[in-house]
Amino acid sequence: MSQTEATPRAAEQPVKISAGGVKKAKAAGTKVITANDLFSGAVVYWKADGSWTEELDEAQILEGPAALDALQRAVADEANAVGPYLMDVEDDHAPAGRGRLRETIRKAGPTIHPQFGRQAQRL
Amino acid sequence: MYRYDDIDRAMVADRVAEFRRQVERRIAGDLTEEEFKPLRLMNGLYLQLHAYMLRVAVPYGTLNPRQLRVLATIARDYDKGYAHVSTRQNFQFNWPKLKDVPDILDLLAEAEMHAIQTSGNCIRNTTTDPFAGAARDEVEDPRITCEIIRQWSTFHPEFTFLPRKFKIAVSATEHDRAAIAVHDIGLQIVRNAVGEPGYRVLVGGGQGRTPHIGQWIREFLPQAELLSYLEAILRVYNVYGRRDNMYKARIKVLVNEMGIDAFRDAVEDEFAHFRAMGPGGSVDLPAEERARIAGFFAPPAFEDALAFSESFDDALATDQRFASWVRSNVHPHKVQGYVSATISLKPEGAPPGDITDTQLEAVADIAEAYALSDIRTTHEQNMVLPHVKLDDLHAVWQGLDEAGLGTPNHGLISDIIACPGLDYCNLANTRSIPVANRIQERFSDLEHQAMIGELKIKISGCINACGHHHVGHIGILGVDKKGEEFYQLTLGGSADENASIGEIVGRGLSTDEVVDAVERVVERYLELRSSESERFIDTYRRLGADPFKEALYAEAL
Repeated sequence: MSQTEATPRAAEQPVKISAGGVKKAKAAGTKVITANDLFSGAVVYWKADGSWTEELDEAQILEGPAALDALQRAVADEANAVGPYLMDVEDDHAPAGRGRLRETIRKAGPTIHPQFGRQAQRL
Repeated sequence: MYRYDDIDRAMVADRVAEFRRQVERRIAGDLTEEEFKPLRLMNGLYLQLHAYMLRVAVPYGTLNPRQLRVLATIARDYDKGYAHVSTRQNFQFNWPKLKDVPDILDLLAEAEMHAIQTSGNCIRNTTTDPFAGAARDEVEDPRITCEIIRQWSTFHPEFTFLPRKFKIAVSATEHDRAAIAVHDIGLQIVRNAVGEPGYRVLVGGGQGRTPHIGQWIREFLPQAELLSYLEAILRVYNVYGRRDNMYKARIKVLVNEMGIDAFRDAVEDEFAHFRAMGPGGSVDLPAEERARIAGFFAPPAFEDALAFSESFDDALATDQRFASWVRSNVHPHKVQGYVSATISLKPEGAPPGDITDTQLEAVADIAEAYALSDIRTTHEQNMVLPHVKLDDLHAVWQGLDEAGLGTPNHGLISDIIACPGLDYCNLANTRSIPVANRIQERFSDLEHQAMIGELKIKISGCINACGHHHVGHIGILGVDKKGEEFYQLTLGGSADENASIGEIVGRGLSTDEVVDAVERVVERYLELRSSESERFIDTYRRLGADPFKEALYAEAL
């Protein structure tokens, strides 16, 4: 097999996207848009109605061009959120992919301070 | 300690007022995040995984009780009841809200504190020996030099946008407790052959993804020429330092690319330019201004105390836990009848460097009652009471112990530096603190720790090396492997006067493997050491990495 056959043309590969921290990911698979709340810094997720929620389960699951379109709208919402990006999720909203641990910790709070963060509010 | 004058006070107040307006404009939508981000960073405000993080400057790690109480108030009223000591001797708050930050900065300003130069590509907080002013063998109090550097560097227009951040550390003793060899500039205060004080100057040290031990650029710099020489170094860096690649922009890369001799020549050329200006034309401090600043660091009113204390000896004989603490956490003092005491912020199971609001207040009360109102933070994420009368030491320990601050583990295996890691940090690949806690748990027997002796474990959650893993006797670096946490061990690092970068000793270890691996390395050390007084680092240097590698990967073979 030639090199050209083995590697799809660049234009056919999923777009590289910002994935939190300094990492990049591919815009393939199911996604949720996440950011930090401007006022509190809390982790927030994009809802279907264009607002933000602190509950990952309430986030809109997106895929493909729809995810990139929504991300553009989220990035434009400067008044409420800081640094939106697409994170990988399973169909049930569970964080997935390379950022799974990072997003699990963002969702729940620091693992070494169970009395703080989102998890504390649910105790 | 240094006290603000009217200029300092006005400068800090103006800065807070300016930032208050900037926050208001961001919230009102008049500033975009792209515009606001560099402004908030210049005021120490980061955005981390879960919340904003405010880093408060603690110049050279010196604090008074009033300042500790203000930090306690901020922790209680604006955060989640705790603060965190960083490896630049600063304090960090992990949960402030954006709208509250100007009020927090106002509170800090009232106590002569701020968050200036705790972020950005400027000269950061100058760090030093936490025993400054108390160490027996120091040439002079290094905080005088630190304060001179602080005043020179604060808002220095030429050095506000350097290629990258810039860190300076100062030591005044042969035994380096300030890690000067892994700083952009390291200064050791020395005397020349005729007894005049001056500096040995190191340049180009640092950690991060390309660790370097600093190189000597000047064997003796006269005290009076400090600022012009520092300015010459900074100018060469500012002109030639790379700005096209942030990973190659630190001065260590420039020094190593140019070579120390070429770099020294460039600095000497610039330095000659300052000298040609003559008195008054240079940036150097007039002698009377130096004397004025030195006056702020005059020794406190030590009492005439006996070297022998009956109450101390009684407590030592009857209180075993106190005796353990004295053995590890108490250090000699230059004044007879006094000692320095390290307050460990590394109790088993707690994040290294965390201290609660009530603990901050307890330390303030103890310092006021027994320690001449002088408190220090350390780059190893502990605190120090530098001046404690031997007669008062048992009472100090009882107060600390009651507040949960009496852990007798300074310098031992559980006294671990750990960066915040993936529990807080946006840049981290892996968690650091849980690994530190599991090692503490594995070695929870304090007698066993004391038997092992000095052993410095340092853990970083990514290659940026904020947890100083490169200079850990045992260093642990977290690496991400396809979304899983792995840990790379390094051995033989050291940050003292015999500084060395630890050697990578093999493949990364899984979360489940790493603590067992550390234990095997320690067990091998105990088998190999020539005597109980041979420290881990000495055994490693005597025998090299091979016997430890065998132990490290024994189970995996």
